[in-house]
Amino acid sequence: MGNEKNKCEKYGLAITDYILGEEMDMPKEELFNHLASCESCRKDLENWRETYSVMRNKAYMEKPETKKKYQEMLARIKTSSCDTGKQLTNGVDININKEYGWHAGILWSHLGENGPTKVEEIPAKIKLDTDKARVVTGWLMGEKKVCMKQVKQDKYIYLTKEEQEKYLQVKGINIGQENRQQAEK
Amino acid sequence: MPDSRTDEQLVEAFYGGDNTPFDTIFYRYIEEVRAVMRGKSWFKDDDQYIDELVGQAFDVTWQCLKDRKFKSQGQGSFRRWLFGLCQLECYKQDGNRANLPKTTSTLFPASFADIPVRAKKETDPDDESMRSEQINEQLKEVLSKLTPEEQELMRMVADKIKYKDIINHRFFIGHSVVSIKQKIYNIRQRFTGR
Repeated sequence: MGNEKNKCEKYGLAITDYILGEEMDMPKEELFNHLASCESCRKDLENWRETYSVMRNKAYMEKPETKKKYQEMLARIKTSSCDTGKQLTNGVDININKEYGWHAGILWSHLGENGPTKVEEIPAKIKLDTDKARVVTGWLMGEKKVCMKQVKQDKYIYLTKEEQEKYLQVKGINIGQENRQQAEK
Repeated sequence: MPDSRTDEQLVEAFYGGDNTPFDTIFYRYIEEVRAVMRGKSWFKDDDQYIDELVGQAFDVTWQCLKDRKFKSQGQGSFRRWLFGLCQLECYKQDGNRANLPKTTSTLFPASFADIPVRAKKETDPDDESMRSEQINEQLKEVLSKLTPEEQELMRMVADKIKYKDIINHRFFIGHSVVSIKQKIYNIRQRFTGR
């Protein structure tokens, strides 16, 4: 009984590391093999995963910059349908986030995948009309996600270094998922 | 002073033309919504993305309430509706991020906003939110009984500070990585009441 407890403590320490993304004292396979046969450690893993997730969320929410961010978010949401200021007496409200935000994401991905792109080629590349493509490009500029350069007569737009890295990170995750799906098949 | 009105009363006031109850709803749920979306998303370690998800969820909530899509079915029905909406939004945005559909119509089908108030079931995101609240309470209790040194350790763990950096903190000078690991392990045993 005592031995069993000591044995599980060894795995308990590994579970702590695993959830925290730290290096474990044993190969992953050893931990997973143990988890397959030990219900108590499986529960321990689940509990620690949940607890850590709540701790992380709580810590994040308590940061002053997060509070400020959410204040701004609320203000943005409330003005998205243009309730304030002079209103048009007729017509339909356009949800800017839905109508343009998503295409901004597509342009972001296109630039991440293909690198610098000529400004006049953007509408064709992301299959949008010229006006919408302009708004979408402006959106990314406003969020400081893109830069522009002029080479001779052509203006090129491309992701900032930080955004390019973020794109590769996201793509890396997706490739990982595809590989897993293929392996499962 | 916190607004003591129920969610359904706040929605009723919102439908009456007053936008301020939305602020109360927003701040009442922001932390739980974030916890649930973080728990559901494939990209849980990307705080900025999770914030975007949360913003998107509340944006859709705002639009749905503006269009009077929520129909109250008694106390608690708004909460279930909101978490259902958050779950859908999370799956949709995660899917979008992975697959990048080409048109907005695939993203925002016309029927999307008409989310019915679902009957409660075992995998209800509302239950997950309750569970996260329960863990939160347990955490508060355990953390309040820890020494200042242990509290600082858990704060650093929650801030994703690595063991090798923790041992350089003034509280833990002279500690090894192994002893930090053991301390965290011992503390987390208290969470599970062992």
